[in-house]
Formats: sequence, C-alpha cells, structure tokens
Amino acid sequence: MTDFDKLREAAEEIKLDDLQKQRILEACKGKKRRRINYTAVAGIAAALIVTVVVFSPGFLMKAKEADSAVNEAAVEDYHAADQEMQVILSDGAYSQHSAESGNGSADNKYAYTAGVCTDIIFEAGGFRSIYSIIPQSFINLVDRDEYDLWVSDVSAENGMAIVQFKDYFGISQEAFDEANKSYAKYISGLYGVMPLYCTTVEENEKYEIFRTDLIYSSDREAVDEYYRAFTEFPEGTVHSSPAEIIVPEEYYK
Amino acid sequence: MPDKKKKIPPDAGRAVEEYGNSLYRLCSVMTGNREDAQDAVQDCFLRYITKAPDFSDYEHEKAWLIRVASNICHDILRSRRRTSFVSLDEIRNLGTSEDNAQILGLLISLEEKYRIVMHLHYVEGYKTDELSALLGISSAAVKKRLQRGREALREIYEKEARQ
Repeated sequence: MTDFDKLREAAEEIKLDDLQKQRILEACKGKKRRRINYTAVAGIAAALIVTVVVFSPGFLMKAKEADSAVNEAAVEDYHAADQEMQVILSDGAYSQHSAESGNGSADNKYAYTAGVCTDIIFEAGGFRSIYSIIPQSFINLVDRDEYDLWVSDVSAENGMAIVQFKDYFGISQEAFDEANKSYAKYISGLYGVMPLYCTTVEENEKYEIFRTDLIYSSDREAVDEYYRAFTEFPEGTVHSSPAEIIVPEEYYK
Repeated sequence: MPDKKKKIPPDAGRAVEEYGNSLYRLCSVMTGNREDAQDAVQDCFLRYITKAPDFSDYEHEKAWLIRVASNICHDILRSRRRTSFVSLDEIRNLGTSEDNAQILGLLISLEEKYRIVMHLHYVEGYKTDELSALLGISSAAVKKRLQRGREALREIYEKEARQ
C-alpha cells in the first residue's frame, strides 16, 4: 500500500454522521425561513408606509426631516471612512489601522472596502463593490489634483467608476493592465488568496480585480451586466456571468 | 455551451447527501480540526441555499461548492492567524485511526496551496486538467504544485522518520 493509498484511506474515515447532516439541513431551513420572514416584514412595512402617506399629509414633512437626518449621518459616515482611506503608506498600501481598528463594522461598506482599495467613488446599488472603486495603483497614474477635481463631478449614472476614470484621463490599455496587475498583487499579498475576476459570494468581493478586456470593450451594457451584484430577486438570481473566475497566477506574479 | 434554461434547482438535502462528506474531508484537511471543518461545511451549504447561481450540471454544482468551501477555509485560516502545522492530537480528533493519522498529518502540515491540490488529486481523484479548471490555474501550475507538494511531503516524511 502506497502512502497515497494510506492517505486516501485516512481521509475517507472523515465523514459527517447523520446528526451532523441533520444540523446542516436544519441551519439551511432556518435561513430560508428567516428570508421569508424578512420578505413578509418588508411587505407589511411597505403597506404601512403607503397607508400613512395617503392618510397623513403632515407625515411627509416629518419624513423629509428624518430623511435629512439619515442623509447627514450617511455623509458623516462617508467622511469618517474617507479620512481612514487617506491613511496611505508611502508604498501605496493602506495602513492596516483603518481596516482593523474596529471603527467600521462589516456592514459598513465604506470601511469594509477601505482595507483593500483606495477610493469608493459612489454607492451604486445593484452592483458589486468593484463597480464603484478606484484602487490606489490607478490613481497613481494621474495627477492627484486633477483626480480630486474629477471625483467631485463623477456620478454612478454614467456607469462603472473605473470606466469613467480611464475614459476621462485617457489611460492606455497597457497602463491600465499594469495598474491592474499591481492591484492583483496587492490583494494577493494582503489576503494570501488568488484574486478573482468574478465571484458570486459577497464576502469574496474584496478579492476582485478588473477585467481589462471588458473595461476596454466600450460596451456599457456588457460591463453593467458583468458587474451586477448577485442579489436574489423574486424572479430568481439576476446575472449571466459565470460563477467564479480566479485570476491566473501568471497574470500578476 | 451549457443550456442556461436547464438549470439545477438548489436542493440542500440532496447536496448534503451527495457532497457533504467530500466537502467535510476537504475542510478538515484545509483547517486541520473538526470544529472548524463542520462550521465551514455548514457555512458552505448556507451559501448554497442563499447565493448559489444556476448550475449547468452537477459537476458545475460540485465545483462551485468546492470553491466556496475552500474560500471559507481560507478565511478561517486567516482569522486564526496560525501556521499550517497542526498537532497529531487534532488530526486524531478528525476521526481517523492512529496509523492513518500520521500520513494525514503530513498532508495537513503542507503549505495551503499544495494541500488543496494534493487533497483534491490524491484523495478526491480529480485529474490535473479538472483541477486546472476548478482552481483557475494552468495545468502546468497544477502539475508543478503536485510535484512540489510531493517533494515537500517527502521531506517532512524523512524528517519525521529521522526523529
């Protein structure tokens, strides 16, 4: 018997027993139930809002005040996260202070992404994080003052941030690809993982890098479709991209 | 070209029955202990229920589960900030016998990137071209990792034998 036969035999002894399988299935069922409950709660909340708006005109004024308070809080959050993002080390990597200080929870997308990228240009609903970011290696390609000027004027309505960036600054495909490799290397070094071109797992979005060919395709529809978030909608998962694409090591090594 | 209309609906019962053991083996080898492996497998099936895309066939489904499971194990290893070396006691806790714990322990003590290809090739029986597609690296890179993994295994084995 070879060592590898022994290895197979050893590994085959590792099995889930019936109780463990049962626990997994119960956990899955629980998750499904919670999702249904969320949908039900959201439906009830929507019905209540409609009722209140229709029958209480004064509510609109109060709602506007509340909305304004929420917006201010969001802006404050953004500035706090933005300040964290300014902590750039001389080699272009971010200080781990911003990512690990505990200032932001995992739910705070600004703080969550600050550890791996430079600037989150806008919040684009329905798209993965990479749709809205400009990593430091790309910012290094342009004049910082011009970049700041551009950032103040950019909007999610005009498409993916990096596409707008390369169009505005006239970045060549070669320069873009080099910056992308640098970003991939950075992710690989920081997390010890292989960067991804695409993922269906939200937690893995932080490992994604850009697809140069797609960014330079001038096909906004294809870009938007590719970077759409893998969110579940009542009619099913809305996307047409493959499940998960790992960047070949040769690309950035 | 896969037929997009012919999708496989997620079925946790079937998936746990079909892939549960192989995912548990993979997670055990990747994390080196039973509790983390169970957590990783459970997390993997939770994502299967909530986030799985439309699978073109069962192989696609299995490949997706393996990728997600290995990513979860990466995260667990990162959060533990520990080396890949684990004690024999932990390996015995995986449920394997004393004799076999030794050889499994050698595999678990390999670097993470060698561990996964060695496990999927020698235990799960994946061929190099299948591993290439599954892990997103070239066949040459898979072969190189298998070769280096074998060499590393041999080195550890010889070192253990000398002690």
